[in-house]
Amino acid sequence: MEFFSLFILSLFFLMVFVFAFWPLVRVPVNLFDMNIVSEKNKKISRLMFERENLYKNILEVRFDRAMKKLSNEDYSKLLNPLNQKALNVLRRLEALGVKEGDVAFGENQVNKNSNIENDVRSEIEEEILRYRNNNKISAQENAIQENLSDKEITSVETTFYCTTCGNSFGTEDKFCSNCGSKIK
Amino acid sequence: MFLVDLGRYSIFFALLLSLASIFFSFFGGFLKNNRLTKVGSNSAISVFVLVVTASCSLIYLLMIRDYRVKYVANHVNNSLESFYRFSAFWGGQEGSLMLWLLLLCLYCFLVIRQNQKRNLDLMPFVTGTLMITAFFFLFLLSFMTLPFDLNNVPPIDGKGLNPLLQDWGMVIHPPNLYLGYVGYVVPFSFCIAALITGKLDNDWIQTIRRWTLFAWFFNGTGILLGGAWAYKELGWGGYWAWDPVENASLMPWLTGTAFLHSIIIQEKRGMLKVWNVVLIILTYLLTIFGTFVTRSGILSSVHAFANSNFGWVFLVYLLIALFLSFVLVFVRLKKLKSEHELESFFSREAGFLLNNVVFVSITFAIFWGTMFPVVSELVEGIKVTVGPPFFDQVNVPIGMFLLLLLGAGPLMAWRITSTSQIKKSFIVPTIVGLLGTSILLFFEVHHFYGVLAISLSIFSICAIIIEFHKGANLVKERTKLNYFTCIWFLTMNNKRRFGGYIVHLGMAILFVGIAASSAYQVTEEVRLRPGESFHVGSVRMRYEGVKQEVSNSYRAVRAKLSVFIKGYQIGSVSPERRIYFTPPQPTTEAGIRRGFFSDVYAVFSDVDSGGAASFKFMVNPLLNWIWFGGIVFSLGAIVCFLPDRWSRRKGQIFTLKE
Amino acid sequence: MSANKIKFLIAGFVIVSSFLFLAISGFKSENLVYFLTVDEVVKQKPSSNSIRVQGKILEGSLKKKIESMQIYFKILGEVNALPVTYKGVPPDLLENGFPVIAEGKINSKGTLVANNLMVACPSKFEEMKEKGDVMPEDHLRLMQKAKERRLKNSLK
Repeated sequence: MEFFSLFILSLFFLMVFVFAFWPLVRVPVNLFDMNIVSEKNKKISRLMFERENLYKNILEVRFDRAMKKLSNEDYSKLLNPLNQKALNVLRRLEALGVKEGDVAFGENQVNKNSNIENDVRSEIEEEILRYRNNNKISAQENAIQENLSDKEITSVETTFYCTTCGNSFGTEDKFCSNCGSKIK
Repeated sequence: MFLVDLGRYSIFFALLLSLASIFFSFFGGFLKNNRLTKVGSNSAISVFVLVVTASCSLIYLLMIRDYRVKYVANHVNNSLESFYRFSAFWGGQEGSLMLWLLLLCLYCFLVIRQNQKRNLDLMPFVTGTLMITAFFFLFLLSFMTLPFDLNNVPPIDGKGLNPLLQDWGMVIHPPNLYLGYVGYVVPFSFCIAALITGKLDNDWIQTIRRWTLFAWFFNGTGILLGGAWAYKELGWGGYWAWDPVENASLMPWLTGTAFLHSIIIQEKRGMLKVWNVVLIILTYLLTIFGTFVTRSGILSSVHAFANSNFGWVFLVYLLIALFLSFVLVFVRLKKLKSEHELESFFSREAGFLLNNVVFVSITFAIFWGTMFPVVSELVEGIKVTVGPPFFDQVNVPIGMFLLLLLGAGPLMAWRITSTSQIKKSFIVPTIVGLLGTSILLFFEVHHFYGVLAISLSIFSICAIIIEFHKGANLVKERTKLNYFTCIWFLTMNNKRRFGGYIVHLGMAILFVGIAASSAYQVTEEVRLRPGESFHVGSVRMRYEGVKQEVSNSYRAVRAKLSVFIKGYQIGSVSPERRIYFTPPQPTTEAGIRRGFFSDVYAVFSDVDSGGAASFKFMVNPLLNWIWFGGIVFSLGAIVCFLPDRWSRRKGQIFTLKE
Repeated sequence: MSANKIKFLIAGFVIVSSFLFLAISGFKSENLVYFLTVDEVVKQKPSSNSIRVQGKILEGSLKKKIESMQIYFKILGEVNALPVTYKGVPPDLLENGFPVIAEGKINSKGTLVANNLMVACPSKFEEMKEKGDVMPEDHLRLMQKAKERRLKNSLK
């Protein structure tokens, strides 16, 4: 019996050690491992993260307004910068090729929202568009460097975007190369 | 003996593998090498498997009563029911450390599983830090206090579990508290990882929010359950004694509460980054310190475990952890700069800041009060303790601010609440609060802090109820649903905000219970003969007589008293004096008549041949509001914990369908 | 620094220092309880402060006046024994030879008038058993027999 239990014990511990050190022998390839994820996807992830955060903040401000904690003046003061930031993020996402409804790899659906949530979301997005139109933001304006401290995104920040199709272009162009609309 | 070897070697190999995990995780993280980090996380999982194996071995040995093992012989005996044989796993020194370790490794495993697609930069360091703590406990269990030590001569019967501890409350209390305590190591590990990698934005904050809530919830309920148990079982009519062990469980909860609030500020406004990091480090250190205090004999306490001689190991670990953490913070100070400034006194940020200052001040006061004997002995050579008067005197005034904030916080908006709007929000709760004060004073309830505390609680409760009402009306405008559905909808779509409000509500109720039962408690000690009555406050106790009773495990003398208010009988109490058979020990069982407005509490002793007995009576006003407030608090915490659809994928890596 | 920032700093300073003041003032002598050994108390006879002593109840010294709910015993140190009185319902496990912690003030006769008597939590008994301290166990059995006798007598 002694020998048998010694054998079982050794086997057990051996298996545990093998499991622990196996990656030294062969690393399982996983798309999500640290330095395999592409830079582009990292940027997209960060932007989507930022977008959700901004929407959350906008919601909070609207809620506080509805609960009558903010005067009209304070409300605009708080909301406009948020709209501006959200606008920038949406623009950059478009530039990277992300459209509404795009699905993440391996996930079923990013947005499984209820009707009310979808309504609120579209309200927020309408509000952002209204803000953009009100302030007549021209295609030549620089994206503001706020909230994104990740150095990898700087390359995206100094490009310009066409207001119609979101395509990026250089400083010399007079017409957008994608949709042909005139650059103001 | 197979199980003993299995257990013993599992711990030993877990020790080695935890060391391996630390090295491979940290090196892999620095070199950004996948193979090494994978070995790190696999070793961590192996450590978990081994610790589970060792724990199961010990539990099995306890269940089959294998007295060859010292631990089994010390905590189990032949007549002990299986439930208590199982709970003996955490009943002793070695076992409770094993439970700590088991939970820690479980959490590590869960964290690794949860983060396979996210926080990729942080994870190696998170695993490494978790394993450092695990290594510490494995070290203790391998060299200082070994659970699988054998007896030279196995006894015929074990020593068994003390009857005072054979109670479901005492059984649940340690695991409950440990679920919380150990939970704090996870946010701490993420913090360290964030500091090391320099990724000090909101990723780590948003990942650990739920973990912190989880730990905080079990820590809080553990404290409340401990108090409830003490009240019922210990026979002195109180629920909190500012004992060092009690304080040790309270302090991490206080800093944890402060942390939960201030991470919200960092998420929203990018402020208080240094503060957050310091708070969670402090919480972790207080957790280790708490585990140390209960074992080292450094502080005299009626609760403490057997004095051990390895307290110094804890102290060394604490000092090293303290030093290294603060070096890290110092190095990363530049990256922890605030993005915004405070804009107004009347904002949630200001409220949260004040809240933080209050919590940290209270923690500071409790810490020094608890450590005072040690310090005074070192400095002056005499050991001086501070008793409950110190803690009450210092904490009560500071706590008043907390009561105010419970209501004022929800009333304010982020960044700035317009001055014109403040008046509108505050006016109704303030009036109701003042109304409460005048009612109390009218009924000649005089006690400065008692009245103040209750008034402020009324203010807060009113403020929160109004917030719910206003919000429900908003929802009603949009959806035309019925009022209560609107409240449900409101809460479920703003879980963090309204879950938090529910927690505040619970705390306000709890504080009313604490204030009333402390400030207005009535105690009387008297000797009565059967048939005699006695007045305690507004209650009359009539002593009916004694009876003898026998059960399987004890023999008891039971007294019966009827309780009257204004001539009407509202119930009866039946305190007992029991003598257990094995091991022979007397206990006192209090007779409690619980009620909405007050508790009537009675213990007795020294019954003579004529049936006369010495009684101690207490009337504790609003005591049950404490437990009720605790239940509301728990529900609110659960609401906060539930997942939001929007925030489900924090930090996740998205890839486009190519 | 902007005017706002100065305002906040001042407010913060005021709040923090008032809390600090409160905390430090709590350490006044009324709240302090001096932890002394029995021998120190007998030698020095401290008069005004609250003190706490720990020791075993001297064999044969425990007396109870049941009608007036008074308890008297002597607590044993290394060399000396300190007389202690207590009024009220006694805690469990208060028997000759048992360890007890008493808190209170010394009166003019050198007796400790205790306002609080504490007996160790049961797990402390585990410690004593492990150290080979045999007394409590035997005493528990003796005490049980005594109690049973008393019970039989009282309920006849």
